[in-house]
Amino acid sequence: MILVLANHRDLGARRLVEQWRPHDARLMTLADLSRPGWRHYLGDPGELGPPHAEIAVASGELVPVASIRGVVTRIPWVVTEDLPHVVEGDRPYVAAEINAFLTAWLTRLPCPVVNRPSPSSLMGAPHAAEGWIAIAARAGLRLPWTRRAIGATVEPAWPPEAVTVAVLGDRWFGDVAPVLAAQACRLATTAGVELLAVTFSHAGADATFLGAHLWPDVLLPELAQALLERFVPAVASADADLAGPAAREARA
Amino acid sequence: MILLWGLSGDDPLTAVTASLHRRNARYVLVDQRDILDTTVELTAGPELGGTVTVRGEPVSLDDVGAVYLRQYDSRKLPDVAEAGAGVAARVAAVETALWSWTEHTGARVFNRPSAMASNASKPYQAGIIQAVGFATPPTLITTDPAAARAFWQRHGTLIYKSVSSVRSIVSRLAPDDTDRLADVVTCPTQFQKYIPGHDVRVHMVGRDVFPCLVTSGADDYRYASRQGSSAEMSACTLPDDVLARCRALSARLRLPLAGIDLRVTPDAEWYCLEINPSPSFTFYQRKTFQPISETFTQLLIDSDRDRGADRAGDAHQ
Repeated sequence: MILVLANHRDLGARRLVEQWRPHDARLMTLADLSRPGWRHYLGDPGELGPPHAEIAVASGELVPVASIRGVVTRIPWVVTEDLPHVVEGDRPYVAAEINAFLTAWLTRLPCPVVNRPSPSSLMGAPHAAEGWIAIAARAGLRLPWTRRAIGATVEPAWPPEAVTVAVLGDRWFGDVAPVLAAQACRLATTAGVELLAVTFSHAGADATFLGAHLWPDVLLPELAQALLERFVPAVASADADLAGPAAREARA
Repeated sequence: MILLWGLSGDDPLTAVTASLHRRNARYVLVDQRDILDTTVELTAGPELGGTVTVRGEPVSLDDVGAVYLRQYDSRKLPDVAEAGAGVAARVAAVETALWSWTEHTGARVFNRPSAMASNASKPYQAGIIQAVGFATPPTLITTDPAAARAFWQRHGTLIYKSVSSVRSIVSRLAPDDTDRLADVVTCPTQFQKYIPGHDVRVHMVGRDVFPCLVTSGADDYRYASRQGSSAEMSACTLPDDVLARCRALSARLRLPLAGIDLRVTPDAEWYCLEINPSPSFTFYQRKTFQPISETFTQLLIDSDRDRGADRAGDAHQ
C-alpha cells in the first residue's frame, strides 16, 4: 500500500492516488486522524508486553502499518483551517497534537517517506527564502542577491523565463542545462531533503538560483513514475526490462 | 558581541542581561517590544550576515559571536495585533529574516531554531531519548478507546498528557475517566505508564550540569498547588551513567542549553520524559541556589570570544 498524506482540498494528491490505484494507493487526509483506530506504541518492547499491531487509518479504513510500502507527504504543517471536522474551539489544540503525532509517526515508519519530516515540518526541513539562499551558497549556486533590506520593499517578481527543476534523490526532472540539474540535486543533498523544487532565472547554464520549495508538481508524469519506483522497485525493474539499456541510461 | 533576542521582562532573559551588564560584557538586546521600530538587512553567503537596526541603532550581525534566543510570538503583542495586516506582514518578514539568520549564522546560538523544534513533538523526542540509552515510559498514542482500555489494564496506572508542546497538566487516569476514553476518537491521545518516584530536572549549560531533585505528591509538580500538593526542590547529583546520557542527549539534539526531565524510581531506575530547549531555569535556581544564569552568561561570553578568535584566525590565513 502507498499512502498520499494530503489535505482534503488537494486535487493533485487525489489524482496521484487515482494513477497509483493499481498499486493500492490510498489518500490519507487529516479527517483520518480524527477517526477511531490509530495505535502507535513507543517504549522498551520488554515493558510494552506482547507485540502490538501498529494501526493507521487511511480513507476511513484501518491499515496495518506493516502493509505500508511508502508515503508521499503533501502537508507541510497542520493548521486550524485544515480541520473543519473538529469543533472550532478545539482546532488550535488538535492541530498541534496531530502535527506532533504525525511528525513522530512518519519519522518512525520503516518504509520510504518522501520527504521524511523534520520537527519543523511534515514535508522535511523548511527554510524561508533567506535560508534557501544560505544553503544555495553552501552548495555553490549562483545567488540572486548579496545584500537585501527585508520588508522595506516589495520582493521583485521572478522573470517569465524562470524555470523550475524537480529533484527526487539523484534524479531530476525539467528542461534545463545539465549543470543546473546537477546544482539542483546538490542543493537537495545540502538541505537534507529527497524531494525538492528548485527555480532558476532561466534554463541556461549561467542561470541564477531564485528559490526552492518542498512542493514540486508530483503530477509531472516522469516525477510521478519516479516516486512510484521509489516505493515499488519492481516497477523500475519491469520498465528497464521492457525498454532496455536506453531507459536505464536516462536515469541521472 | 552577544545578541539577546526576546521580550524584555522575561525572567531568564532578564537574569542573563543583568549578569552580562555586571560583567561589562558587550551585548545587545533585540527587544521584541521594539519590533515595529526594527529593520533587518541581510547579506548572503554560506553564513548569513547583515545588520539589525533597533530604534535607529544599527548592530552588525557579523560582529555577533553568541546568541541567546527567548523569542515569543510577536503577533500577540498589543502594538502588533492592533496595527493591521500590512504591519503584521512586515513584522513577520523581519522576524523570519532574523530567525533565518539565527539558523544560518556562524555565531554560536542557544539554541538554533531547527534544534529547538524537536520540542513540538514529544514522541519524536522520545525516539531520540531512547536512542541515547535512556528508558522511556511505555506509551500508546491512539484514537482507539479499546486499545486505550487494554493498555490501561496492562500497565495499571496511566497518565495522559499532550503529544505536542502545547502545555497540558499531566494527570493520572482515574476510574471516573472510563467513559471519557470514548473522546480519544477525535484526536490522537497520549497515554503513558505512570512511573512512581521523584522528578529530577537537569539543566545542561554547555558542559556544566545542574540537577535538581523535585519532591512532590502532585502528578505535575509545576501545578502542585492546583493539585492540592506542594513541590520541594533541592540540588542533587546524578550517577555517572545518567550524566553521560544527559550529555549525549543534549549533543544529539544540538541543545547545549536545555532542561531535561528525568524520573527516578524507588528502585533507582532512571527514565527520561522530555527535554525542554528553552528552559525557564530561573524558576529552579531561585529554589536551589544553583548558579545557572551565571554559568550560562559565562558560556555566552566564552562562545563570543571563541568566535572572535576563529574570525581573527581566518583573517590571518
